[in-house]
Amino acid sequence: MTKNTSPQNNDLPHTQDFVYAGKTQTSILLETASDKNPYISQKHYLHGYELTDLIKQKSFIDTLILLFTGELPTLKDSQLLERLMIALINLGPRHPAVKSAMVAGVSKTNPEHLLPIGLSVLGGQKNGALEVSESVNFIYHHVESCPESVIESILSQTDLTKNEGEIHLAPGFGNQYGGCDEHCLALSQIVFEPYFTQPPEKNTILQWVKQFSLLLNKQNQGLLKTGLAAAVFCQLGIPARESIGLFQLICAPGIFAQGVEQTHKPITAMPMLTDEQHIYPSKL
Amino acid sequence: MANSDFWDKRNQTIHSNVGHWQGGKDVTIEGYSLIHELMGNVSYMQLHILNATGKLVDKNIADWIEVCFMGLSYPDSRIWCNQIASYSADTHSSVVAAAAASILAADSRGYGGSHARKVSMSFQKQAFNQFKSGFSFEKIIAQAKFKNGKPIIVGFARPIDREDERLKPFAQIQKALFIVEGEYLKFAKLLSKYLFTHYKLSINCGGYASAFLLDQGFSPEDGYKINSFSVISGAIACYRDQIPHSPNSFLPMKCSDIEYIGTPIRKVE
Repeated sequence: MTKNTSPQNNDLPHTQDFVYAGKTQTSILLETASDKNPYISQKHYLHGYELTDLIKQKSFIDTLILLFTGELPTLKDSQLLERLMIALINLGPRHPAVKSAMVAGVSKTNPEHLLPIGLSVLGGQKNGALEVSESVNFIYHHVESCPESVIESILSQTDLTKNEGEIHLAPGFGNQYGGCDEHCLALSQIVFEPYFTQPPEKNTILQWVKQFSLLLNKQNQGLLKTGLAAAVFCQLGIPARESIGLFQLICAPGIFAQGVEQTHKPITAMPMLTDEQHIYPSKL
Repeated sequence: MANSDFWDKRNQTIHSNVGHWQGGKDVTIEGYSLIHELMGNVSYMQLHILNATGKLVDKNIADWIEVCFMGLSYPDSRIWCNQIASYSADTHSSVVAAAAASILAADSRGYGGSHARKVSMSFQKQAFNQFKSGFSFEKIIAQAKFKNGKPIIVGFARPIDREDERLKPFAQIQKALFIVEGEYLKFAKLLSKYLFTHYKLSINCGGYASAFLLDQGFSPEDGYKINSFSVISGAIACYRDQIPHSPNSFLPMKCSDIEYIGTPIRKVE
């Protein structure tokens, strides 16, 4: 680092504002070293469980929940996440994240970039992963409150007539293309269904989300896919920041599949808008 | 049927307020002709700022911002975003993947000059307005989060070291470019003096640049956009440094280099 030359600093002791750790710490994975080479690992323990035991005895979903929560899930929790993962496996070729991967694919972008491109777009605050995390916080914050009064409070602070386009009254809840997302509502019923066979005290979060969404339908608003993911994450005890990447992970297969499909086609296989379809008010 | 006019207007149509490419003829950017007015007459940084903010600034302003970019991107792989570029080289990712990953990494509230610029400009804008309306520095600082007895104010502390080698050239070049010190920069220097006296914190290059951009009439969002890729150059240098070497050779770690602090070994029931 450069020598301190600032006159105003000369009479004061030079101390660092930050103290950096000597070693990186993790509570997720333990790697034990080979006896022959300290860089080669011999065994991996995920939150204490040996990876080989997890491979033999547990499903991918079980292990995924273990990874993010530190504990193996119950059968119901595992089923809930699996259903969500199927529901969101492909957001469809009209979702901006998927479209981005497809546009990249058809324009001959290096194939290894397709998924990062789509996931970057999926990181957004509207219909993306940041909305999921905000929705997780919203649900955790309001789940003890009466859904009617929450809606009343939100509506009292919102002028629906002032906004044009898509309105999300709360993160994860809103309208899509001016209406309720019917497909998401149908998906939620199937995703939540096995959990609703449990005693009510074990599914309070999903019940609250269901009730809140149905009440919103009167405002032409409803559950969005970001809210669907958030509801499941809340029920599973996934924190808001963890929900960001988990949502991206769940939606990743469809993004890549749709993107890589386009790489096999000519660059002309997707529309290029004409000059007339690109409207600029002060053209030359 | 629901009213879908809003979406129908945009179906298969792009409405742009920034520019238009007329294939084979010209390109319009914010009403300027790229071919006939901008090319050869403005610097790349002026053009970038025009695209990022819609404002065509004088060349000396763009030149100073370019100098600021030079101070935001060093060829040193210890810096977080550069380290990521080196890891990209270690796996032989493409240089563009390294550059993009590095820019994403620097989209941080703690360093990097993009998100951090927005955070810093927002704070300074608010603090300046409060100061103008009669708030004391003590009252302004009290609103910040504190850690270890020091306020956390982006632009007034440096994560690695307290000194900032860029401040001197920033000020000298500003003078050489005949850019007068604005109200925000004057305020930032006063704030720095206060922070130094009370907390041994002082303005860093990010704090200086934030005040500079506010003085030029840019908003915090403008600052974020202008600086969105400011770390790219040093990242590419670090990629170039590592790419000829063996895989797993950049900062290789022994198993014991990671400290496991989690649940002890247990059996699957």
